[in-house]
Amino acid sequence: MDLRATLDPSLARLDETSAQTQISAVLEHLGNFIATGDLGLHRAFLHTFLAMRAAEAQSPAAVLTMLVAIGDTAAQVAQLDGTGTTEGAELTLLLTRVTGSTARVVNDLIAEEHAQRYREWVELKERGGS
Amino acid sequence: MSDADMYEAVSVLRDEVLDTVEHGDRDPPGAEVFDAVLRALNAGGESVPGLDLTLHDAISRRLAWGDREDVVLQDAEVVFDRLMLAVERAFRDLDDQMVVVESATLVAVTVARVVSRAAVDRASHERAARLREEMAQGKLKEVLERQKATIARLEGELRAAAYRG
Amino acid sequence: MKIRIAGDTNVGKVRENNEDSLIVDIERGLYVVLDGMGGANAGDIASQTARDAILQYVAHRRGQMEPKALLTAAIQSGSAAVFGAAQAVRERHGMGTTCVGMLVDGEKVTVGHVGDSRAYLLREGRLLQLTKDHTIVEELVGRGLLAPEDAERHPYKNVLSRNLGARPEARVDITEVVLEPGDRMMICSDGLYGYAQIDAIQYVLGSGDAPADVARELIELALRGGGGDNVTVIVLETPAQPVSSTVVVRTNGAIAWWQRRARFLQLCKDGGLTRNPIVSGLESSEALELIGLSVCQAIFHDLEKSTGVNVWTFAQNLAAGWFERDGNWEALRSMMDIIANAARTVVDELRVLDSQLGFLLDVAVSRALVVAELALGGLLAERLRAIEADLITLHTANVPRVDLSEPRPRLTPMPRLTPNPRSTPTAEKIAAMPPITAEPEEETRPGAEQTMVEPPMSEPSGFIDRPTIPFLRPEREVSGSHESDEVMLAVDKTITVAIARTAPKAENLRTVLSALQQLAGDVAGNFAAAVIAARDIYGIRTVDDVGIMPLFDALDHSRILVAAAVHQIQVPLPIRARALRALSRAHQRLVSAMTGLVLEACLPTAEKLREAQHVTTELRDQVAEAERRRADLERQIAIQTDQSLPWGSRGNTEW
Repeated sequence: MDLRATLDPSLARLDETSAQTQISAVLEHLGNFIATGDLGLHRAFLHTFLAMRAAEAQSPAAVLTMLVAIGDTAAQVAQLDGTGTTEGAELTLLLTRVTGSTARVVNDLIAEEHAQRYREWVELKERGGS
Repeated sequence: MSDADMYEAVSVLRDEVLDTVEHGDRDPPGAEVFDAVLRALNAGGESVPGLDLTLHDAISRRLAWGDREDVVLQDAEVVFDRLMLAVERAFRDLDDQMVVVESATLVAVTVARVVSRAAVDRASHERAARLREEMAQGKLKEVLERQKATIARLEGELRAAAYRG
Repeated sequence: MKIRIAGDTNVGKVRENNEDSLIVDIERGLYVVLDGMGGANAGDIASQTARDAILQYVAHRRGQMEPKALLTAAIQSGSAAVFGAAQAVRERHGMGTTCVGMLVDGEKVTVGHVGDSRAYLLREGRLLQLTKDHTIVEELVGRGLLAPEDAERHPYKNVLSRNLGARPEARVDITEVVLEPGDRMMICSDGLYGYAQIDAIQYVLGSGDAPADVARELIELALRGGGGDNVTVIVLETPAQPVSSTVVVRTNGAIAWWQRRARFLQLCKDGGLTRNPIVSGLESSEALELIGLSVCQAIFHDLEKSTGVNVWTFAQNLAAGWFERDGNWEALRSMMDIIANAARTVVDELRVLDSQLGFLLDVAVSRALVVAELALGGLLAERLRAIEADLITLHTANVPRVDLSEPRPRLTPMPRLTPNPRSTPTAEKIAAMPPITAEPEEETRPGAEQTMVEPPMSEPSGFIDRPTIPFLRPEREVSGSHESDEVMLAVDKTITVAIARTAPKAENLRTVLSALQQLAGDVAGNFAAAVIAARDIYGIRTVDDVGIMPLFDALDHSRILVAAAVHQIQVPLPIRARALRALSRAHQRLVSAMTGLVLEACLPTAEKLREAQHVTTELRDQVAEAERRRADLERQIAIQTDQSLPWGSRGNTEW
């Protein structure tokens, strides 16, 4: 929790309980994702997370930074806790790769959102022009 | 009277016009309006409308702190009225009186312009904010539908697993 | 601990003057950034005045006071100095400066700040903002008066709540930091974080470069981001004691990676890099060099310095160039996959030869790929923000019109009188003007005649029909008494002269002048008459600048015309003075009534926004509830998942 201000300025503004809830939800999901390896569920979580944060006026870039920082912090903790052990090393690597996968899914979602908005924009323009 | 003398002569009316006995000396209501009149006098009784950035900034500040636009406007009215009375009483030279009255009218129009612009900006901001809300709602509705489908699927999988087990 | 510090400042690409100042006083351990503000070159005077005062204060009292008290008092002395200088010269009234300062005592750093200049600490790769901007919005959030989500888009989010110079005293926020090996601190003006992306700042600050180079690179970042403001940074660094694994990656890892560049390029080629649309038109070797070798070098340099700035910059440049060519995400995504797969294969092959080094390199390269995704995400998000803004503009282009007109006869102008120029500044200005024959539309400058533009007529929406505006005070203190017939005649003459100076097409301006004539005779100062007149002038118009501002242009123009005309009529001075007072009171009532109408016209937008927010909150609650259920089911699935299956093939639930 000491790190939460570094994760995202918007998160830093939240009260302790709300920030804890958000970070815990992300960490719990990362744990489940490592167990299930289910990309569909991963995408489901991230899509919902992005939509909820968007409704709180947080930019997708800030959400991405926060998610990466949480994953990165988890990987560093795994590295410190598991120093010298194979399990620690593998978990560190897995968490780093999961963070990469998280960033990619978020980017896909942002790109999809952009494509949808672009279609709306073209439609509106055409309607305005006709 | 020179600009500088005029400035000083009106400055001494501050306590009376802003009723500092009632409101205290620190930021009495409408102080920004009185200060703007002084600046207008200093500028030779005229300035470009809307370019009194200090007045604009002071009003923006009040609005940002949560004062409503109508309250800012009311304070300006009070200052205008009191200044007119004070000047009529305090200035013997009618030409000087007229210069102050002109400056006060200039400031009254500028305050009205700044307050109106702030309200229009706020309205525009609120319209944009409502559209953002509607965009966010669209996303949430989409997510909600998908969540329902996923929940149904997962519940089915777990039931099937329990049956197998 | 040996600390290294350097600072730099730049005027930026837009401003003519540098209103920032800085102190780098190694002897006293004092480092300060100040960002001045105020018209007529007062900004640089403010920041320099505060700088000199702070430096002098610390020079005289260093060692005699505790750092916290010393820095607080020094910054306050800066505020008193700026306030004093502002009071001494009228043109400098209102000038001020922000201030962020560090007082370094061995490993202890005391940070003090006022305004929106910031201090950052980079520790173990993470960037922590040590200061909270003193903006009104931040303070409202801090007091619980404004929701954080509303703060992001608050119209006044950049209005400062504190600075040095607004008052003799300043409220200084103090933070203390105990430095650890490898820490980097930075203080800066808003010209840095306002124009450079925070990720880029983090990576540049985290590079192994010397503080002087980092300061220069940070300024370069802000300039590349537009350089719209003066930019000043001071960077402090404590020597790092890199952990052994970091040392291994920096040396052996980086070398091993670079030695395999040919293999990496071959894998990129095999993966389809040269066929990717991004490099279409390029020779295969050119494409490999431009993309493959660049990213290979970027990874190498980042491994060497334990930073991410090179990969971040590579990904940013690649994506920015591609998006500028209207490129799509799919091609970029595919390109990143080719690069990632090639990098992973290289690392996997290395792991076979040297498992420990291979593992460390695997983590480091995986992190580099995450950094690349972060850079892409920043650009994608920016594109999304831009298209959403365009959509909002398109949606709001059709601003609702509000009809406040009434079916009443327009006020009739009085007959023309002979002008008689007099001697006030306004009168001189007006007298010097040529007679008005035609008026340019939308002209807003005083001194040039202007007219109200008639708004386009359309079907009205949101009709507001109230006899008076509730918040205007009908029982105002009335400053005038009943005016004699002589004064009223002078008023009529004044209006006639003013109207004579309007153009034939300036109907609205004449309506305003006629309204003033009528209101000046309204002894009771009754607002109802002012409101009726205002409604008549308001008519139907859009609630935006285009619709509303011409009203105030006309009101202001009429003020200028009246002020000039009153000096041109042939009446005794006391009568003229009374006529001006009566007209000014009328003017004030009319502008207040007009503003009241504008405020009423703006009311519905707030109500509609509140309704929309309510709907969003309800939807969020529903999504949160469903998410709790989904997460619960995911947990159960996770428990049941067969862990013997390879990761990635355990399931892919449809979404």
